[in-house]
Amino acid sequence: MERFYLRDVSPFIFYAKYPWLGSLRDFVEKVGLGFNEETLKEHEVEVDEAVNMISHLIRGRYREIDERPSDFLKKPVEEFYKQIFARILISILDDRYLKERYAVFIQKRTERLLMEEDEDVIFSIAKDEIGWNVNKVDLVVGGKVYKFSIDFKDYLDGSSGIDDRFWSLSNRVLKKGSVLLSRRELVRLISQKARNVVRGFTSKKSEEVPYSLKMKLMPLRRLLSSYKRELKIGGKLVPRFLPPCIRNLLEMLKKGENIPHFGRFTLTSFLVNIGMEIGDILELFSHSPDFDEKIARYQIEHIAGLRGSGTKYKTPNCETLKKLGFCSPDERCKNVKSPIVYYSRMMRRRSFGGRK
Amino acid sequence: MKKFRNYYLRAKLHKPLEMKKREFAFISMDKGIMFRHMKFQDVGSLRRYILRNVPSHVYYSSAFYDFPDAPKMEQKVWKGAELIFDVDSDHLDLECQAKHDFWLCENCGYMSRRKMESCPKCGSTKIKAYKWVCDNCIEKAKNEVEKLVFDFLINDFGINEDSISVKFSGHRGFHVRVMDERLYGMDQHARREIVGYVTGLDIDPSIHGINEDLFRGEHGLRPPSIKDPGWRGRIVRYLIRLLDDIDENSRIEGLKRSQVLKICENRESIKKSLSSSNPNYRIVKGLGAKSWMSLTLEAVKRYGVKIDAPVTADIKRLIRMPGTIHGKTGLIVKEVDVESIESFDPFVDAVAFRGKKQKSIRIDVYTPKFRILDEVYGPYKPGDVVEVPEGAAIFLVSKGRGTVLR
Repeated sequence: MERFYLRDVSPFIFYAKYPWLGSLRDFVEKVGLGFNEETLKEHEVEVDEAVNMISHLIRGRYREIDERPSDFLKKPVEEFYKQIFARILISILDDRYLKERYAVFIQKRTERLLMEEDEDVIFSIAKDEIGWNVNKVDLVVGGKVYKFSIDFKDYLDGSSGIDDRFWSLSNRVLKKGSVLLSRRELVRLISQKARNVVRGFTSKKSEEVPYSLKMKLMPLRRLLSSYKRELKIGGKLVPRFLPPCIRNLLEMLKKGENIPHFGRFTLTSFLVNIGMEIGDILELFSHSPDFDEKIARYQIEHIAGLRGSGTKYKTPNCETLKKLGFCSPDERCKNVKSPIVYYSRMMRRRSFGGRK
Repeated sequence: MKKFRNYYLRAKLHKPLEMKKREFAFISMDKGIMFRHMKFQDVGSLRRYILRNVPSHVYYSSAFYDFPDAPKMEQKVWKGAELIFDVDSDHLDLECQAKHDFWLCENCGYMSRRKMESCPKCGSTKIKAYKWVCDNCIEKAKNEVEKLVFDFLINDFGINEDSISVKFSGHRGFHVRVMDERLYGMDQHARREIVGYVTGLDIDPSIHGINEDLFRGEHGLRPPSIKDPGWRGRIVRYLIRLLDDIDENSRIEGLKRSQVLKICENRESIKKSLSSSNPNYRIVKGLGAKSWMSLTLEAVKRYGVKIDAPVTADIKRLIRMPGTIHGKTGLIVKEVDVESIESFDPFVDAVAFRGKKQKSIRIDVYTPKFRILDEVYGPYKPGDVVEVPEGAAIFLVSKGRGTVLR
């Protein structure tokens, strides 16, 4: 029997729903969507909608950009252009924070849309679009119904970044190299893949960007930097918003106690990641008993990604801190996965809703 | 050094797969310095290098690079890596270790049979571990290898036996390598998940159906049955094994003594129920979901594969090259056919120096009994002067237990 693709029947709906797929590029070429003043003028409405969508994303207002499947049926072509432009604009803006938000948005959206799809569509996205080795099965193990099996390597590719024991390989049924999945689980796996794909989107060079689009980007850039500034501390810490683990480390530092290596790393990467200046971090560490400015500066710059391989180090997450005995949670640590999240949540509450 | 050189003149060195894409590294015999970031086109040029420098250890990368000889890791351009597992008896908890391993304070000479970080007598942290390897260590390591290869890699992961290669590490254990191109690209996350799977340390019994609700048959998910694939069936097999291993004095984390006794009383009926295709975990009163969770965790901890986890998770690991000599034993790092690993005897099959000529060795440190080429030596006390053939002599000197007398 010939397989039946949504992609071939209605590519506009298909890519409006799943604009993160790799095959989009070929389709864009096929419809001859050039990236120039002319196209932009023709689709100005959609560009504006995309800009609007991104500004909601920056503010974290996911709900306002929530489409229902019926929206796609009403104006599939318009929706398609809006999604394409959003994707392009985000890669031009090239901001880690925004990209992360967009990734989360795409993941949730993909999951919701896929749940409403026919099993064949889900299957063909996993197999033909992503290229996973998936098979349809009909198995019951331990009372649970499995509809798909996937090569364990592809399972690990999809589950990368899901921070939940349920998804740990050892808690799955693995049979001769294949992991068994229910329909819902395959959907979750695909949506996580979408998130990881979006995270890996490369940035667009700004020389290639038409003038009129640059103008549209200006307010977004302003919004982004003002929103991010609120999260940053610009040299001044707000100690009462710090998570307990970081507060403990700072206390130790102030008392002149010697902090173990991993503690220093945690503290430094935390301060770097909330945007503290290197000079100010250095100043803090000067309390340390074995302070050596040259070494300390080098290490801080290394963590900040100014030296060595050039990667900015992430702050260890709560799980790691717990494992290594640096965690002493308070009631606000609930549902927080990293000290950074704790701090930025507290800061945001201050800026937007007063204190809670 | 001369001996090592003689060995390498004639040693069988097989060309490793993708040799030109691998980084090579050596540890020098005199100062123990590592020389790395090297690349070799063929076995001939590698052999010439080894003969010129006579290193005590030879390694290559499990990873493939575009530029394996680039001096910085980020310049090498990583292209993938074999999936490797390190089974080292040092990571197994063995009774024989208490008999042959000891820790010595280098400051005051205090000796302990148990691992110590600092000396209880003088407080010094200059502690040297003197670890040994015996037949039991090797046997237990072999069991882990067989379990890993047959039960996990072939059965669960569906890996083709032909792409699995096992080698004796030259010391206390074995390296298992999976040379399957499809898996070369796996990142650290994926490899860590594989570690979690084979060790079982990530297992959550409740997700497999061992919890309060599920015992009641709600949610449709049932506790594991022996015929289930993957870990579910294995959990049941391991539970049955644990039931056999438990006696009245066993301590199981999370279980009261009365519960342990209850298990001993009803051992056979519980085992019989677990072995059936529709097991009843509630056959014994007083042994509820919580107890079964504890028993599962205990069984997995006891019988899961013991490996050195960071080795598998590392995508840029240096591993010993087969055919070379392990400088701390004088034994050959040797490929082993996993089908016949049972009959592999490192103290015969991996002995590099088989000469009969006797050497005089002065013993510097207590040396437990050991065996080379079917001859048993020792135990020796410091100060002993012994006459042994070269294989045993090199083993003693390499392990740091004795000095050659001229």
